[in-house]
Amino acid sequence: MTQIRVILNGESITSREGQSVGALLLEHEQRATRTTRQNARPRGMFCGIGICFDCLITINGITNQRACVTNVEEGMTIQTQQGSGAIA
Amino acid sequence: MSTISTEQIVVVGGGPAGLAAATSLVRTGARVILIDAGERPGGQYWRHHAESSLAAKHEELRIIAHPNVEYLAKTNVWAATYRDGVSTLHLLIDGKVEREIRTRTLILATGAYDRSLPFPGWDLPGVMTAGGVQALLKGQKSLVGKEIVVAGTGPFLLPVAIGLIMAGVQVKAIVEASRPTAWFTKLGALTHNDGKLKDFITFQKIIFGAKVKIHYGSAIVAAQGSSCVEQVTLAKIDRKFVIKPGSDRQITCDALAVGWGFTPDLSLAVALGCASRIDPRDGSLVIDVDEHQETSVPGIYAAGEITGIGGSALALTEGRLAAANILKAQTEDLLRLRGKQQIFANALLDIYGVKNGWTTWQDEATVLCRCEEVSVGDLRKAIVELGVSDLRGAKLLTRAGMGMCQGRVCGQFVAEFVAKESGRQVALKDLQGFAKRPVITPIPLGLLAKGAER
Ligand code: FES
Repeated sequence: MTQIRVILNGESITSREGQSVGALLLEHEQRATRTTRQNARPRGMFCGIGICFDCLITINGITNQRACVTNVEEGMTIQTQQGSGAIA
Repeated sequence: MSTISTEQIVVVGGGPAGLAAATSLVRTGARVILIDAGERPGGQYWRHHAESSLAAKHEELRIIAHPNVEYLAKTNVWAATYRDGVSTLHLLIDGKVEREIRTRTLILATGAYDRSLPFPGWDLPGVMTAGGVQALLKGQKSLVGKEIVVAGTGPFLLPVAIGLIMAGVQVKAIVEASRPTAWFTKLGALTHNDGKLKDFITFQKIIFGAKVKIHYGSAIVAAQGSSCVEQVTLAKIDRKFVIKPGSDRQITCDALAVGWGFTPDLSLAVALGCASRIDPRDGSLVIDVDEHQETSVPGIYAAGEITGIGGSALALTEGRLAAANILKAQTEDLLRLRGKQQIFANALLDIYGVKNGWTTWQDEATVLCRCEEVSVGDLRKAIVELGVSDLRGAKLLTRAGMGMCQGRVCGQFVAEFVAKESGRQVALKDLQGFAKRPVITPIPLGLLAKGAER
């Protein structure tokens, strides 16, 4: 399986082709993808299939992407989010 | 790119219903465009990872390679219209490429997702839907935790728990709201599907062998933790889902998989103008179809979970039936089979019904709408102080159901909550108000602006 390098919160890590960002985060014991806009509560994947929009995360600088339905790509930068998208 | 292909049949949904329809159609030489949100066919039920051998077992999964099938993976229909017998679908392929297709014959098989109920702590990371945990496992070989509680109701919980056990996870408990005695009144229905009974017995053996306890007549009514779930509260519930006082105890775990059956995903069908109704069996909004799986809109058919929750076997039959009707082929055997499968599906929905005592599990701070962070207290205030009694008012005043998921997660239970607090039943227009979504699937803003110019 093809290895892929991605940057998670500033750190270079290895992933695999076909792995979702959500699965990659779980592998690194990172359950929360973001905090909420109003009450700053931690949130992570909930529905796992692209329905709920809880797993929002910043990918390549674009905020509010769904970790569960986005697959990793070589050189991708992934950053957990605070609120609507300031970088955590 | 725009394709006008009114001669091709378009199927939306790559789960059992859509695949079965496509398979029947291409066998007779018809040409099919199959639109699938997933990266490979299968939907939720046949979800599999890249190296899986599942496709060897099911002809339907291999149909995408047929020369008469154009399979569009990772494709969302974000807008759709119907006029003069022609459906126009606006597609977004892999989040990047736009395409528009038109057809006179459309089969909708958009499936369902987990039905959720709100409880204190259900928004903590590590709490996931049962389907979500299953999707991670089947699609990604990924585990949400190491010590997991599986809870909710329905025949789906056991395969989820078994998948986890097989993957080496410690399943701390299986918590099922129904009682096994509920089956006694349904033995007649069981004879319509002895394959399922055999599965059930195999499941029980594996669970027993793994020394996992199944708590019947119980529910997980709260979850606690700081940055993610650390423990959950198990309680006995009565037949109306009200917690039995003093029956609660804590279970430590690092994840909770919870599912309360399924909610049909009607966004596309509703956008096309297909009539919907409340399914009296489980209170969910479903697409109304006739004997031939045809919706109220001529030329648009619906099959599978969006016509009422019934499971994969029924979905396959409905997909084949829709295809047979389009092809004007024989339908007698399929109709008979569908009838039998419906009896079994009805029995399951009855045994694993959700009762509205769940509205007593929350405290004022419990989040109802996860997207907009609307709490029970916020909603109650709108009802009591501001006199809101309908869903429209509740949405406008609290923003419940107005976030990014557009009420997919909270719509049904917010409707039930408002109805109960206002002393009435859920009305058809409550649920329809949630199902009518301005954008069927969220798309990049630039694209939306372009769409508006059209
Ligand atoms: S977990 Fe629900 S959209 Fe990603």
